[in-house]
Amino acid sequence: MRRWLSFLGRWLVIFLVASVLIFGLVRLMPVSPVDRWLSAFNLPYTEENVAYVTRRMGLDRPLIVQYADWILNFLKGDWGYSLKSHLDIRQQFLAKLPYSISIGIAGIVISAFAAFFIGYRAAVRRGGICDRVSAALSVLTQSVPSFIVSIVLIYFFGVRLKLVRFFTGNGAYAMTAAILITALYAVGPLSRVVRKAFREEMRSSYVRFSVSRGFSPDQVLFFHASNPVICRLISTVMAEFATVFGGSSVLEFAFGIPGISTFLVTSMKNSDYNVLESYILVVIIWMFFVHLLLNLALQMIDVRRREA
Amino acid sequence: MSRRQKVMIALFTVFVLFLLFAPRQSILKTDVLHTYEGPSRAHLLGTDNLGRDVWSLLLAGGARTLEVVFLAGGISFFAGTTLGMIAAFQGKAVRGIIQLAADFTLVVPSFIMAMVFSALFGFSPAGAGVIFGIGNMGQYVNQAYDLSEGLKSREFIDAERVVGLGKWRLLFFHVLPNIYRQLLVFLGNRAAGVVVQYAGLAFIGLGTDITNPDWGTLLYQYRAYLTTDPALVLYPTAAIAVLVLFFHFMFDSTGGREEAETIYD
Repeated sequence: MRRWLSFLGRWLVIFLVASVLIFGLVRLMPVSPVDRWLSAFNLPYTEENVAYVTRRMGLDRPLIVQYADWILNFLKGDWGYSLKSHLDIRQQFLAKLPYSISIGIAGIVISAFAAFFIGYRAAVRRGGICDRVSAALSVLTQSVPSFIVSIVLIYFFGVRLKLVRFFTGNGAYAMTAAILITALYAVGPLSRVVRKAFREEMRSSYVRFSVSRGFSPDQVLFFHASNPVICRLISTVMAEFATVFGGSSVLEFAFGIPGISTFLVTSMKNSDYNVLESYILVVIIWMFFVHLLLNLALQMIDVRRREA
Repeated sequence: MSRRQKVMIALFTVFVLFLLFAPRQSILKTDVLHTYEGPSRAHLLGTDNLGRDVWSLLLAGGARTLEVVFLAGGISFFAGTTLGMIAAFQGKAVRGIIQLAADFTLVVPSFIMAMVFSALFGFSPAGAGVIFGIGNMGQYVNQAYDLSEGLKSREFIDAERVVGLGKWRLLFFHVLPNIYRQLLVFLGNRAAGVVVQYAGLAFIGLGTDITNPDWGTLLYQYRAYLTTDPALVLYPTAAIAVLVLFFHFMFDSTGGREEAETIYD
């Protein structure tokens, strides 16, 4: 119980710090929101206009009041309106979030499953196919950015072979490709982690004991020693998720998937800065749920974590 | 330090000096009459869609990438290590605050922060370097903290405390020399990640300046010519890969070392 309270407390602090940070950053921008608003509607830059817009946007109030107002409205579900399209920002985020979430989750789940089996084979057969392939894959995916793979995929399957339409239709191909590339980029490092964890378990006394009693070595490793390995895998996924999410936002952009990162990029190109503050908070909330879920999973699997 | 590592570091130094000081032409000069040219004496790697010299563009992008990597690596290495050591040797309150800060940088994607930052203040290698540096700091804090925690119970630290050695002297002259090797391996891994992340950031291109292209920006511009002129995509990709592989192998301590045998072998 105490652990969960401190978990929630930590995330509350993270959320508040992030919100103050992004609020401050937006206020530090070289161009003021009033100028942006006026230029967005092609209005003349006169003193009356500036004064009116400043008052209407509530920018003449003390900063602390503005912050409290913004964050309370956010929590109540009023995230403001887009400057350009006048659409409700919250509804737009909710419509785009499923794309980003499914790329992240599907990519990481596929890669974690694959990494477990590949890592297992790599640990059992040192220098075998799985060992070599996973080592090569992890170096390769670290040195070639994922967007290049996506360009080549689009070129090869979309342009050369004309098998797949990435940018028209319902976007199913683009989603599949983005998920697979996310998985491909996570599977190399994750399978190395699994391999290392299995190697450590191989040396432990309980494995040696079971094998010397006559159980099949492979069975002992796969069925009895897998629990700590899975825990290690989940912790690694948790630590790497921020990076995976950053990487998937590049893929969203490369494949033109209407997720929240593409939304941010297009809004920024239109100087639609209202979207930005909500974007950071959405990312933090999404990270919170990922960590919550993975911590729950760890709690269920890892006996050592259970409180007496 | 192994012989192979020394060779790698020497090669890397040459590569860096090369990126910074190799002779180059103006990257602003366009030449519409000579576009998509192959390698020649005038243009070592040929010209791009605007007739710019690809060789010079690559060198310019390389210098900018190095700026980002060194800034990010420096910030996260020095600040992260210092904070991690302080956390291990200070009271509970300080440790709590430092760990919270480390958690913060770990859960907020630094790529997203860098994207937001460049959207707000314009794209610059310095800005990206600082954000990546702060964003990767959490991992160094945790590593340095764990390593310093392990040292805390050792006798020589106790002895030095009894002698009355100053706190900072203890940290920087007696703890740091014992932990920096492991942290350098980590630095190599993370620097490789920063190169790729920066390329991705430039590829998305929020607030980028088209006259100052990075490898990522070049790839974004040239992606349309993959069908007609694949070399234009290949060069920046190769440049990224070479830099990443340098970081990967320079500090990689596992290379060549035998793994402990188990009953499974």
